[in-house]
Amino acid sequence: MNEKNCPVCGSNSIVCNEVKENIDEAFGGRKTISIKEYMCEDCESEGDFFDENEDCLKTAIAALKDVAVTNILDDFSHTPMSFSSMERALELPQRTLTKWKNSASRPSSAGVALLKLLRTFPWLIEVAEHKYDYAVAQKIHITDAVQQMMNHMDFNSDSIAMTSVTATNKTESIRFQSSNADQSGTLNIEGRTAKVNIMMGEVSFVC
Amino acid sequence: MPYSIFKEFVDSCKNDKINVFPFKKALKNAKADFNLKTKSELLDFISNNGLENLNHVNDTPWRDNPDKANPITVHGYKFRSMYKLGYIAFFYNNKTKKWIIKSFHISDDSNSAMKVALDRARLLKRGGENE
Repeated sequence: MNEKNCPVCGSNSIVCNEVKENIDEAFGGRKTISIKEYMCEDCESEGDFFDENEDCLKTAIAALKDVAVTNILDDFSHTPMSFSSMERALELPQRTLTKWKNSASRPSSAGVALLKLLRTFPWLIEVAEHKYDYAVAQKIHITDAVQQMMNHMDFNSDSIAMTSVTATNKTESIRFQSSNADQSGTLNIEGRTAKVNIMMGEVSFVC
Repeated sequence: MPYSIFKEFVDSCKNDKINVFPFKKALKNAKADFNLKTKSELLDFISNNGLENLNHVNDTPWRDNPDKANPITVHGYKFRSMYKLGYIAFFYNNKTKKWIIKSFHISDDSNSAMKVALDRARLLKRGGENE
């Protein structure tokens, strides 16, 4: 069997096409490359019959990962956190992040995964800062979750299911539902009105 | 018997990659469903015991076989990888001496923990999934 036979059925009636393939990488964007695609005219199998696309795919993926690293570190450089303090919290050798940003060295796959996680959940740096103490980590996580939730809550009285609210002089908490995003609104509880304000993730009630 | 064939297939994925060929559609689905972007990533995943809780589904003739004198059987298996249930179908062609990965995708008919549990308890019918 010569080199140009279909790997599936062995036929030599194969045709080659060059097609465009999009490669996507989180935080790295998209790259379009040309790849070879074979089709067997006998069994109609399609694919990279002779492993000709592997190298160019790997090169494109690696290039996009480099872009992702640069983009993520560029985003972090616009936050109040300095690279040296992040490196200290994460117990990375000093200047590691700077070297990655300047392409003086390339992070391993684990390094890229770490950066993507930190970019998605920046509060993980605070968890590391507290030496991964479980109780503190839970508190940081929940605080972030509540803040995110508050940003998406609507406290307009129209959208609050008032029938679910029952308050007495012994009530210590109030439960309600909301649907739209808003930062303030009013609550009517047993004929009394309370104004609800959310500022910087903090909720305050004014009666 | 079905699992010894799978073992042979995994051995080839590990030691004889050049003789394993994934169909274009299988590779496309492996990328979309399991984030396995290249043939080598797919074969490394298979050969490193990535297909967990393997369940043999069925053995069916390869319907697109142009050489009817050389019957080929497609082996279908379901597997789990973290929270995903997947399906793999492959066959070996004695004529070309190559393993062909025909399908590799999220399992069509069940992708919930409850269905896995029911399937394990043999409370669900296993269906002729072979695409």
